[in-house]
Parts: sequence; structure tokens; C-alpha cells
Amino acid sequence: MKARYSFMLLILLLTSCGESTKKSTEKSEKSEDIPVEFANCFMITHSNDHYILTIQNPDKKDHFELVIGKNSTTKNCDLTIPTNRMVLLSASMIGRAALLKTFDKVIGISDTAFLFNETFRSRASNGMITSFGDEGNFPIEKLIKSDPDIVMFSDFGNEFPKQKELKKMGIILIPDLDWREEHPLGKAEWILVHGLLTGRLKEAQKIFNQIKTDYLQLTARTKPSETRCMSGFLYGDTWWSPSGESYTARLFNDAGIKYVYSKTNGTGSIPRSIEEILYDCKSADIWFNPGFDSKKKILQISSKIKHLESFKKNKVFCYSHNMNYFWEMSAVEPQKVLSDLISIRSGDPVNLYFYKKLN
Amino acid sequence: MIELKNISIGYTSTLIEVNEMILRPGEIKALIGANGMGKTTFLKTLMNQIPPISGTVTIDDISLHKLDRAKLSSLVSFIGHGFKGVDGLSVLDYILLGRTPYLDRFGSISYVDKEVAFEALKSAGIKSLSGLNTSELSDGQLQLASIARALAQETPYIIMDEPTTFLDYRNREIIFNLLIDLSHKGKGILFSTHELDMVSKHQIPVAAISNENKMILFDHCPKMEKLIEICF
Amino acid sequence: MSSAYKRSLILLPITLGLLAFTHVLSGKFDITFSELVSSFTRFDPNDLNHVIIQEFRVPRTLTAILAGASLSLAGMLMQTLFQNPLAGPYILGINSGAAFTVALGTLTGISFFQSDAGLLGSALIGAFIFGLIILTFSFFLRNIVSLLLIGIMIGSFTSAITSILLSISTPENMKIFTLWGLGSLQKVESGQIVFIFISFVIGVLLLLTQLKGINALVLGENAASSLGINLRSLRIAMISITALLAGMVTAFCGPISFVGLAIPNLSRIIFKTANHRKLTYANTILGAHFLLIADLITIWFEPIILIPINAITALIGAPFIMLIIIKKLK
Repeated sequence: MKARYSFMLLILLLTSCGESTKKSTEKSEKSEDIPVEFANCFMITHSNDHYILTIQNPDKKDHFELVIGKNSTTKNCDLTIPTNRMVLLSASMIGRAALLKTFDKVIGISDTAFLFNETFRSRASNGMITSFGDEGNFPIEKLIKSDPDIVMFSDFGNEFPKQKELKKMGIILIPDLDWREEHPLGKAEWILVHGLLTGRLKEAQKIFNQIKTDYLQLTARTKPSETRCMSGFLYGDTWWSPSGESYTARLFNDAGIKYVYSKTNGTGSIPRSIEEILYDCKSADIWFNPGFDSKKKILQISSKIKHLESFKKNKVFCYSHNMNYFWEMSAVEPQKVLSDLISIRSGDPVNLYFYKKLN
Repeated sequence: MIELKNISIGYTSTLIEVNEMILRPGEIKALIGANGMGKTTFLKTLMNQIPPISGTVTIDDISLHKLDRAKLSSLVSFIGHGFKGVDGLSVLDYILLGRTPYLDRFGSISYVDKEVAFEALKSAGIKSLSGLNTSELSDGQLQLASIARALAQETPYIIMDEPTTFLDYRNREIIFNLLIDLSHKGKGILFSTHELDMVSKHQIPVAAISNENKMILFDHCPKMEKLIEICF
Repeated sequence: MSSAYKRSLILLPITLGLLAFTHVLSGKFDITFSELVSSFTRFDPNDLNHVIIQEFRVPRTLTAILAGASLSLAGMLMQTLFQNPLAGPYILGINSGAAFTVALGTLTGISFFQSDAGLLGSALIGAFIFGLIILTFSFFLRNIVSLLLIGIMIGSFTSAITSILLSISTPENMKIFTLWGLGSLQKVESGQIVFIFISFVIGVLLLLTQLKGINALVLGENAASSLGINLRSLRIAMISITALLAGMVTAFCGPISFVGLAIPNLSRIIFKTANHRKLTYANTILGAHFLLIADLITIWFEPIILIPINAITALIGAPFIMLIIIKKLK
């Protein structure tokens, strides 16, 4: 595994070195895949003067393809890198941009009020980043006026409003499917897409490789424990828990925690009534992600929660005290989430990144 | 007795001037007038739903505006037109609603109330209808039931707004006979009507609203031609 | 009194008891009859089944009964007041009025408004004010459908204001309000049942004191007035009682739809009467039946799919109301 991994890294380094000199591109004519190890929803192919970015929603037949020219001399391409004006419509995209320090390329986001990153925040307050709101009520004219090259949006199966018209105007809409990735490292790997578009693929690969190394090392050091956890919270009368094959369940497993619903199918969420939750999860040791930052607020929603062992023993953990940080960075830095989970499991929750114990 | 003296009636401008008009228990009067001359306004004034522009109406020597609604409802019963029956409301229950002025706030119905209601059914000649649903009755039956309801209210005076409109000849005849019969039994009855032929046939005293907005009283029913000349 | 009505006085409480019993015993945990009894006689806080009975099942059962009865009575009052078989606290915007003031309270973040008394108080005030608003409109609109449309417009208007308020509130307050807005019989705590019960009893007692007037109102306003009824005080009383009954349920359960619209019609159809003493009984007992059955359906479906209570009430209620419209209004 490790040998294969270094081999690929080598190829990667070689090919990326080759990119910079015109001579070497002329030598190699055939296209090659940029290695994508964990993500299932995108592919990057590389040939002498262009990349092809393919994004495939596993729920859909047709895929999205973008021919990206390496420089202005490339003909017949949709886009030439580096892109300088991007609109990023989800928090995790902003997290990737922050990790890659491509601050000056982001000209618009969903809501500047929910920004975590300091640099982005100060740029937003200086008017260099526009708020667009969510896709349900998207101000198309405002978008056109801000003149972006690229708009990245989370593809939940719906079409982006005025897709065709925007395309005619030369605004490229790129669907983002990181939410659909089942492996935590798969989500993180989407940083390669951001790296590719901003002309910083090499740096992106470097950052991702470090994340991967950290994550895998943590997993290798972690032994399965008898600690059991539950997750999620009530919405109305329905308690939504992540399914057994979901990203969150995977994180619990990698942290050596037995997740109550690990045997359930699917990558989304499973609904349970509160009585079923009490039946299944009463004795769980830890409760993750209730979505509130205090026990009092939880009791306000339902006082029945008090019968959960995890609640009684003060073993409730969530990221809600710093929600913006979590939504921005957790997808791109899963090693930190994993590290949090392992610390919490070990019973010595210090130096937590995202999580905090609820009081 | 219901007494009107020097009264002008209307909403903002005077529709009818009444010099003097009296209705005693045992008397029956037909109110006649062209459409739009203020028959309904006149009846509403008697029911204290609108105040007269000037003058007062007295009932048994108490002026109308001093009577509270509850007291008035034990003196005068009113039968409007346009009641079509209510789904689920039986004829007996409908007549029992006439007992409303005498019930406690919980609407508890006593044995006495039921006796009075049965008597009213009998007087109106509709004993056989008591179990029917009011929404299933014919127009004639509905009018009889309404009269029975007014009888159950046990008021000395009954006021009716066009009780025979939409009825066929036979039913008109039944209603007119019943009203005359009730006046003989001591009720003071005032009803508005367009049936000049019926009024004239039964020789009912007339209160006519003239073309000049004056109330003109006839103790004996005048000739139809004369009435038409005055009113229409 | 008809003998069918007398029979129903005995029969329906028995079926309600059986339903309530089934309701208490239904759910994920298997509960035996003896556990049910002992949870009342010798409650053991360490016995999970006892806790389930006392804190999960019994409050839910009682909530279904009281909410079903209260909403049906509120609907009955609205239908008689406006002489409109399609009136109800939900469609006339009284529920959204309660939601509006609850939102105002929640979004200010003042903790009083998040307490039981604060929640109840703000819902009652909202329900009452919006009841008066629709009453005012009713003086100008004699047409059955116009008044309903006005009610729907008032509902949409206040919902719009509520949603604007929400958009400027903190995400957490917004979440609390959104959750409240979903409508649920399960979030009522055992302590709140007392509130609901007291409001219900007060509401019913007040209603009984107005029976004479309400019965007379069936004949129309002029006739009621000639029967000695003080219309102004009767209308205010009916709106107040509706606000109390519907506002209280809305405060603790969120908006529950269709009960207040469907059950008063069902009561008139089954009991074939316009006597509101009988109808009060009919709506109380049938409303309780209806919501218990609707909730039982959600419990039975739980292992397969979680259905919100409002989906069940609408699935049963909406077709029934359509039938009423076809039969009565054409």
C-alpha cells in the first residue's frame, strides 16, 4: 500500500514538473489520469496542453465534463487556468479555498455572515466578496453583474437556475458532489478540483497527501474499542441518524467507536421515532452531533432526552459552538475530525478542533 | 299594547311618519306598502334593531329603548323571512328555541318548556312534523313551524315579515286563518304582506304606508282599489 | 333525547377508553398490562418501562385526546359563529395568529416567552387578536367562501411576516421555532399536560355557559337577537373560547390541521342535531377519537416509515371536507 502510494506520488511529481516546460509536453502525447484515490465523483485527465475534469453524480446517467486549457494558447477548451473569479456556494468549497490560500480568487459566496476564515471575513467586510443567498432564491442578475468565470454549486440533483442562459454568457457552472462522497478522505480529495481550477494542482496534491497521511496514521494507530456512540437529533417527531454506510458512520468506525446504527444500509440518514431511539441508544456511551451547543437547549426541545445514558453522564459532544468553522473546514480536514473523535473516545477530550462537550 | 306616537322612522332620512298607531293584544294588523317604502325598516324599528329618528315606541307603557333585549324577547316575538331550515335541527328543537328567553345560560330545557312547545305544535297544526328535520320541510311547513316557534316564545305580540311570500294559495289560506285564529286567542299580530286580495278577503285591519311616506290606518279593510291608490 | 344519543353517551366513552388503552400500549417497547398498572401504583424511576409509560406514552395519549377534543370544539364554535360549515381555527388564520405571536416571543429570545406560561400566553393573545380580526371581516362579508378566502389571506400574510422575522433571528431561535411549527403530539411533557387539561376544562365550562346563545345563533343573527340574545357579548365569548382552546393546543403541539374543520361536520352528520349541548359532547368525544386513531396509525407505521401527525389528519380530513363541499355547496 505504502509502496504503491509513493510510486504514484512520484509519477505525480514527475508529470507536474513536466507541465512547466513546453518541451516535455511536446514529448508525451497520450493522456494520463491524475490519481484520485478516495473520491468517487470526479476524475481529472491530463494531456499535454489541457486537463479534462469529469464530475459524475452516481445517481445520474450523464456526467459533467470540462476541458481546461493550461494556458491561453490551448484551443478548443471551455476554460483556461488559472481562474481568477470564482463564486463558491457551499461552506466546504470555501474551506478548500482557504487551505489553498486562494483568497483573491473568490468573489462571491452564499452568505458572508457565516464565514469562518479570518482572511475571507476581512475581504468580505471590505466588499470584495458578494453574498448571493441560497439556490432557492438565487439573484441571477447580481451573479451576472459580478462577472464570475466559475460558479461552483452543490448538486443535490436539481438544476442550477438559468443554467443554459448563464452558459451562453460564458459563466461556467460546476456541480460539486463532495457531499455525496462516502469516504472522509473522498470529501477532502475535492481540494484537487479547487487546485486544478485555480492553477494550484500541485499544492493541492501536497496538502491532500499530508491530510491523507495524517488520517491513515491516526486510523492505523487506533484499535477498535467497546465504546458505543449514537448520533443526530430530533427534527419534529423524527430523529435523524446517519446511516451505517455514511461518511459520519465511517468516521466513527475509523475512530474505533461502535456506532449504534452501523449495520444499517445507505449513505444518507435514517429516521427513527424518539421511542425507538431510547430503545436502541439508551446505553450508548457517547452522543455526537445533537446540533445544539447546550444541554439546556436540548431539553427544551424534548425533556425525554434526559433518559439517555450519554446525556446523564455528560457525554454529549457537538461542533455547534462554532458551527461556521465546522461547516467550512470539517470536510476538507477530516483528520482533525477523526482526531477529535479519537480523543473523545479515549475519555480525555483535550485539544479538540471542532468538537466541544455540552454543558 | 304597542304604541307609536309622532314618530319618524328611517336610517338617516325619514322613510315613514307615524302620527299614532296602536296594537293591542287580540288585534291583528296587516302592514301594506310598495317595495322600498320601508316595511322592513318599520318592523326593525319595532324590534329595537334601529332607533327611530324622532319619537319613541312604547310597549306596555315602557319605552322601547329602555327595554333590554331579554325583556323585549318575552314581549315581542319576531318571524323574519328567509329561514330555510337548518341541517340537523328538528322541528321540535326549532320550536324549543322559542323558549330561549326563559332558559338559563346553559340552555337547559325543562319539562314545562317541552309542554309549551307541544302546545305550540298543536296550535299551529303541525304535531305530525315534530320529529322532522327543518331542512326537509316545505316552505309552508317552515312558516307554520316558525309561527309555532313564536307561540312557544309566549309573547303577547308577534311581528312577521311577509309570512306568505313564496307560498301557494292553499298554504297562504292556512297561514291567514291561523293568524286570525291566534288573534282571537289574544295575540297582538302585525305582519307585512303584499297579498292585498287575502287581506281584503279576510277583512283584516290595515296599516298602509302611503306614497307620501305617511302611515294611514284602516280599522276595516278598505277596497283594494283605494289601497292601491294610496300605496302604489 | 333520542335513544341513539343516549347509547352514544355510554358507547363512545367505552371505545375511547379502549382506544386510549391501545394507544398507551403501542410502540417500540413491549409494555405489559401489569407494568402499566404498576407504573401508576409503584412508580420506579429506574425501571425503563415505567419511565416510557409515564413520560412517553401517557402524555402522548392524553395530548391526543385533549388536543382532538379542543380543536374540534374550537371548530364547532367557529362554524356556528360564522354559520359556515367550512370554518375552522386553522383556515380562518387563528392558528397562524397564534404562531405569529409565538414567533415574536421566541425570536425576541426573552426566556419568559420560551417558558410554558409564556408560550401559552403569547399563543392565546395571538389567537384572540386574530379571532377578532376575522370577526370584524365577517361583518362585511356574508358569503361563505369570501370569509374563508380572507382567513387564508390573513394566514398567508402573517406567515409571511413570521418568515421575515425568522430570517433575521439567530439560527438557533429559528430552529426552535421551525421545530415548533411542525406540529406534534409527542413534544408535550408530563408537566405541560396539566396546563392543557386546565385550559380545556376552563374552555368547556365557559362554552357551557354560552350554550343558550349558541343554540339560538343557529337561526341567524337577527333571529337570535329577537330571542333576547346579546350578540356582541356572545360573539366575543365565542372568539375567546376558541382562542383559548385552539391557542392552547397550538402553543404546546404546534399547528395541527383539519381536526377543527372535519370533526364538527362529522359530529353534525353522525348526531343529526343542531343542539350544541349534544354537539359539545359529540365534538369532544369524536375529536378525541379522531386524533387518537390518527396517532395510532403513525405509531403502527413507525417500523416502516415515520409519518407526521399532520399528514395523517390531512389524508383523512381533506377528502372528507371535499365530500362536504360537494354535498353542501356544490
